[in-house]
Amino acid sequence: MTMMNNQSSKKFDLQKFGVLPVLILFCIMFAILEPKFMSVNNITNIFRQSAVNIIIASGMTMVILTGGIDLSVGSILAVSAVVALRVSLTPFAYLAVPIALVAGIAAGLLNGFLVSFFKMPPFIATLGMMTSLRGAAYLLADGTTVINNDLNFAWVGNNNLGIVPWQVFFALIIIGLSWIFLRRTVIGTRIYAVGGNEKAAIFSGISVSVIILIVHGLSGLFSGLAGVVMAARLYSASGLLGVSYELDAIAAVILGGTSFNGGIGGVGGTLVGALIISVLNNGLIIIGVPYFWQQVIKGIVIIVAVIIDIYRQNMKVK
Amino acid sequence: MGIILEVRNISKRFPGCKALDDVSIHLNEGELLSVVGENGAGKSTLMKILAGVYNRDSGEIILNGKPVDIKAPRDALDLGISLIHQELSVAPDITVAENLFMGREPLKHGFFIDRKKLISESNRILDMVEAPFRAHQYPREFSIAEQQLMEIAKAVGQNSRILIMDEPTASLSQHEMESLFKLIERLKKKNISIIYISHRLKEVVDISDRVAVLRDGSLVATLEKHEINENDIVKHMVGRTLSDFYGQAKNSTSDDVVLSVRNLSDDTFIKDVSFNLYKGEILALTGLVGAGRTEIAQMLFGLDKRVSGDIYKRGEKLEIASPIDAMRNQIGFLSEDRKGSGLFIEMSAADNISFNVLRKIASYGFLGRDTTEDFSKQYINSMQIRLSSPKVKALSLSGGNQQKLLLSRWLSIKPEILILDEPTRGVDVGAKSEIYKIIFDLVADGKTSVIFISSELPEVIWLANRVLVVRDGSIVGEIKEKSQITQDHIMQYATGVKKPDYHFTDNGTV
Repeated sequence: MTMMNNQSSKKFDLQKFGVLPVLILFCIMFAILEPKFMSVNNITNIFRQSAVNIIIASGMTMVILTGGIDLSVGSILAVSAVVALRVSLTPFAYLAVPIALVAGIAAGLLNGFLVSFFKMPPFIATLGMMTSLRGAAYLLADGTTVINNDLNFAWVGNNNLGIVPWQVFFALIIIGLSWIFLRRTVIGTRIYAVGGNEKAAIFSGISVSVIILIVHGLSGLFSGLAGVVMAARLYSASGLLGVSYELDAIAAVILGGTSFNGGIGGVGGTLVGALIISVLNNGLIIIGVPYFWQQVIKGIVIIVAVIIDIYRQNMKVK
Repeated sequence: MGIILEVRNISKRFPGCKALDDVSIHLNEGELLSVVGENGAGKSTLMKILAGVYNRDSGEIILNGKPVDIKAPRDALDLGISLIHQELSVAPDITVAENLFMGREPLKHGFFIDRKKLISESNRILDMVEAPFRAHQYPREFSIAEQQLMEIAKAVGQNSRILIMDEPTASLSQHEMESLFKLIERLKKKNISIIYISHRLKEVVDISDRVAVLRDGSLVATLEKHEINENDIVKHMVGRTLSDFYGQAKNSTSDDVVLSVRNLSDDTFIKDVSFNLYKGEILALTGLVGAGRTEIAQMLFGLDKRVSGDIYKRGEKLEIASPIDAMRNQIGFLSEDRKGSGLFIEMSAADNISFNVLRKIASYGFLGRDTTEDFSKQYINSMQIRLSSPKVKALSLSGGNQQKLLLSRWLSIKPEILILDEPTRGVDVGAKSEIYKIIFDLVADGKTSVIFISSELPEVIWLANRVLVVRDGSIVGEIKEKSQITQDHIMQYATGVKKPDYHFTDNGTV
């Protein structure tokens, strides 16, 4: 019996690491091809570049865990960024960040509302929101770029806490809080339950609508925060920000081993997934791969990583 | 009659359990060998190894005296071993002939399908199994029995020498079962060997040449033709004698009405349902499948909308519009569809057990690392749920143990009224007896009253203090006296032979 337990726990541990070995492998490979890759400066860069994606992908993870999807994150990011910049130019500049975050939550809740009360497929609901909010972001910015060289929250995107950039710090905090939320709270458990077996959740007296509202609300909040980070970094915002960021976020979530059908996965994997994407972006540039080839390689990596994951899941069953 | 197949010392492990432990069985030519055992005893694992779905960890498979290696379903087919699945895999929109020859269609000029040969060969095979349909037909409208027959024909057409049938009678009518047994006899005469898996011991006794009994992954007995009888099989399966097997009722029902249901209707199917549930009672709602039993239960639990009618608990009128309301009033509902609307298969056993009380066992909404695990232990012990750790996924447990997870989930809310819809569906005799005992224990102290729905009449007779028979959405009969609860009596009401004579009398209970 003991022997059996050991064996099974070993297997499960391997499973837990998910795509982490892939990340390590890439790091080693790039480090060998170009030693500069492992410099503190470059590693800080990689984290800084992935911060926004990590924040967005944390919310995306929760939505996908319920079996949904949120295509509107990039547009919410743009709206929040423009709102933050606009408010920062008024006498109420200290309200810039809170109002931007509220805008994010509001957009997310609207997503959740469409999905849970009108029973719209999440793909369609958030596709519509993606388009509308993109337009809204351009309108709010009057079709140009809103600039504030004296931005009161610029530290978010430019200062460091020790050697850690604030935005990286925020990203890791978001991952940590999301992990606790998903794994150590009642609502988190219910998110997994709704994604794993919605009918059983209903039979157990769970209000699925509330869970859907919560995950979309959080996804909106995180996208809003990502908007604030980007605006801070750029001292500006426009309707162009965050175009197709939803794809990187979804890629990070799926690379991280979260099932598209819901109920399986978590933010730990998403962190690794987001880092893989950044390491690839960074490493391919450093070793001098042409831009178009970078795209090809990134796509292939995502496909292969997911194939390996599926294969491993099957091995576990056999 | 020589030995056609022999498995020697087969073992197979899954994460969390040892599914097969050093099992050796042989199969004679032209015989029917039944393999029986509780869910989780290892039957399906063994069959899936033979059919190439799983790979064995150790041991040998010897076919016609030669060791063979079965790595994939294709290998098994090539060696003449066909598995007739419980869930049939018929393609409904291509012809019977195309189904029969899928993947090995006869060709002409090496490229085009030889349609003439396809049809004539198919019809020849269909004649061999005396099928009532022809090669050119489409299986879309076929009954389960006909689909099954087609699968068998497919196996015969592939010159399979060994057929493995997994619960072939699970969804067949009496008449269809008899024709299946006749077909099996004919196949045996053609020297085809059959490995037969079934929970229905009566048919196992009737048709088997030999019976192999598995328990906890080991072979515990092989019974020869003259030794086969139901009692001995059960004894080997559960490792106990029948006398203390099913447990005994120890509740005494009182006259206190716990739940009173008045004139429940949904305006379409359920009409004017009224009844009382007494304290500490086991009340059976029975009738034919589709009579409306589940609908009544789901209305009580707030899953289905009721158009009219009232529900009272201890004289107090309840407003039940959703399961949340029902649970707030200490009403629990175990669904008949374990996988579909009960389990969270990817979540741990502990989370599954404690799911309904998460709010209660959490502090300020937060759960500790082991909160659900610690909470679930009492139920794992008292219900004897067999698992290697409360952290294993529900997916990895057997049907009976999964059902116990769900029972635990509902017991954890300390229900005053627990509705059990087909609580023993798809579980083996061992788990069944344990579930009976759990139900008996539950009502023993009178704190919980049970409404249970079952199509299995022996179960109704064993468990129920009182029976209500449902037909066409209404209650048509009530059987109050334990001695009057018989299969005959219930069936007369259920089928309409006996005229409805149920009248709910309000004896001032509300």
